[in-house]
Amino acid sequence: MSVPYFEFFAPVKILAGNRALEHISYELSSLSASRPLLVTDPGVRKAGLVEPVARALSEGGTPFVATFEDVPADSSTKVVAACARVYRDNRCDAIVAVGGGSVIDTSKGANILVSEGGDDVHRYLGAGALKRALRPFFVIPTTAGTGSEVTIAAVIADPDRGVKLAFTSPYLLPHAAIVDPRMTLTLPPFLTAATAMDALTHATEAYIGLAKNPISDAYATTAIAKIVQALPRVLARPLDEEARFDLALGATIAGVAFSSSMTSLVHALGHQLGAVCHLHHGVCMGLLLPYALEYNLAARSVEIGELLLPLEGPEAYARVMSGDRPRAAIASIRKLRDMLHAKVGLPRTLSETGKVQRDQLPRLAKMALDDGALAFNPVAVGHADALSVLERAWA
Amino acid sequence: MQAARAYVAFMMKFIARGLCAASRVDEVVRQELSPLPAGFTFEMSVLPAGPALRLRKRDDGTFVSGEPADARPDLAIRFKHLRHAMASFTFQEPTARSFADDRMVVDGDPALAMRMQRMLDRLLVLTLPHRVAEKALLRVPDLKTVDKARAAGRLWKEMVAP
Repeated sequence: MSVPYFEFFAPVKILAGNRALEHISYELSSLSASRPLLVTDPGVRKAGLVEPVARALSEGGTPFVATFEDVPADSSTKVVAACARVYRDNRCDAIVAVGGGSVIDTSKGANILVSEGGDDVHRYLGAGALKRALRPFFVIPTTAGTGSEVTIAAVIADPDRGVKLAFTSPYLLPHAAIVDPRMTLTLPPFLTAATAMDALTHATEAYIGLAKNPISDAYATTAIAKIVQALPRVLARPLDEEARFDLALGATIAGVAFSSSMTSLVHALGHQLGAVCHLHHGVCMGLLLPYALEYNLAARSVEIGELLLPLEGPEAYARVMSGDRPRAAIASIRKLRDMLHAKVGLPRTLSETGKVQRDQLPRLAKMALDDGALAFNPVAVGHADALSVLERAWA
Repeated sequence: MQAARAYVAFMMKFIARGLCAASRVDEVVRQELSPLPAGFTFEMSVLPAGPALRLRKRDDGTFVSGEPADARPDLAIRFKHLRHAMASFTFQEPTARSFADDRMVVDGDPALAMRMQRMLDRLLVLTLPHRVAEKALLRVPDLKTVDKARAAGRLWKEMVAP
């Protein structure tokens, strides 16, 4: 076999840890920006998460000059255009996104418009459409899961055509991602568990996918260890800042891993469950992950076996014979899933969600075949294969 | 380099001709193509100005081949270098591997790309010997010999004498 080839690109500056928010003003000034726009949503505001950011920026001499707060759960081209208008009307020169995936993707879309001009984000679809750096852009995630703060993609719905537009460009990467333990401290237990399973799936799929590479592997295994060690601590003591920080950092590191190596079967199936059955994305990830790993054992048993080390630690890893490690790794993820079900009621199967009908599975399997994530699955997936994974996840 | 360019150009023509023929006589390709709108355009090319193919879906639901045009296609697959196209077209590695390794840029809706990839895979399954197809694809579908022979026969006949 010839020497493999891969690409790895992760230039986001990560400001992480105690009083990270208080570094934003300095970073803004280093980019000659002083009039930031806050992009967030009402839920984040209600949770009291805007206040510490606003205070840190005011104290640092770069207060928000405007706020765009009307971000729905799924962003759209119209929301993006409205956000860009607020930026222009208030002569802003930077964007600070505080929130989850939708807030971050809205901000990425708005940054395209305010940097390149116009109100139609469609013009910037496609590889290579963006040719230069955009305006200063900072992301403060309020969930420990999506990893959007370090990824090159943004998904924005086009309500007129009823489709989701995928924007991909290295220029969409934020100038900085801020991981501050204060920002995830009040995330409710169910959402903490669901988003953590999303992050765990990012790292796991990055490690076993077709685009895996030695550098993303290092990020993926580090992320897995951090997430599985921190999650039980967070659920036991939700206000434990150190545990919250470890979990948030694990999610960001997982984001770096999958931004390079992409995701695969779990996400291809999970996207359809989210779209059709309105299941929370993290819930889909958690319940599908063991079954997708079993499906991929044929091509990735060594890699799945290696995951036992970050999942269970060196002593447990050493106790298990190498041939038994793949099954032991999957059993470890099942054990975590069962613990989350017992503690916060996270569904373990599709039937437990109460939102999926069994006769929907063939359609969901068919839809998954058109999902781009499937291109990175290490084993080819046809309709019967996708359906068999969904059937196994049913009960 | 000239030989590689000529070979890749030949393969582009072969793929264009094969997909046009398959869109007329192969039920699997016809089914994949049916949800796409009339006028849908697909382009495969080698950067910066290498061999290329362009297909357009006609009103009757079949593909027609044409020269690459200035208008942006709905879906484009662009190899970053002639050598990468050569590696794919000599079946040294599966196309899925080339894509995962960033040997090519896919420009357009990922759902369209997945559908187009399935059509290309079907073409390879029907036109390549099994052992070669095993190198070109992650998995060769388990077709009954008689079914494959019948479908391949129809396709070759349409490609040679449409």
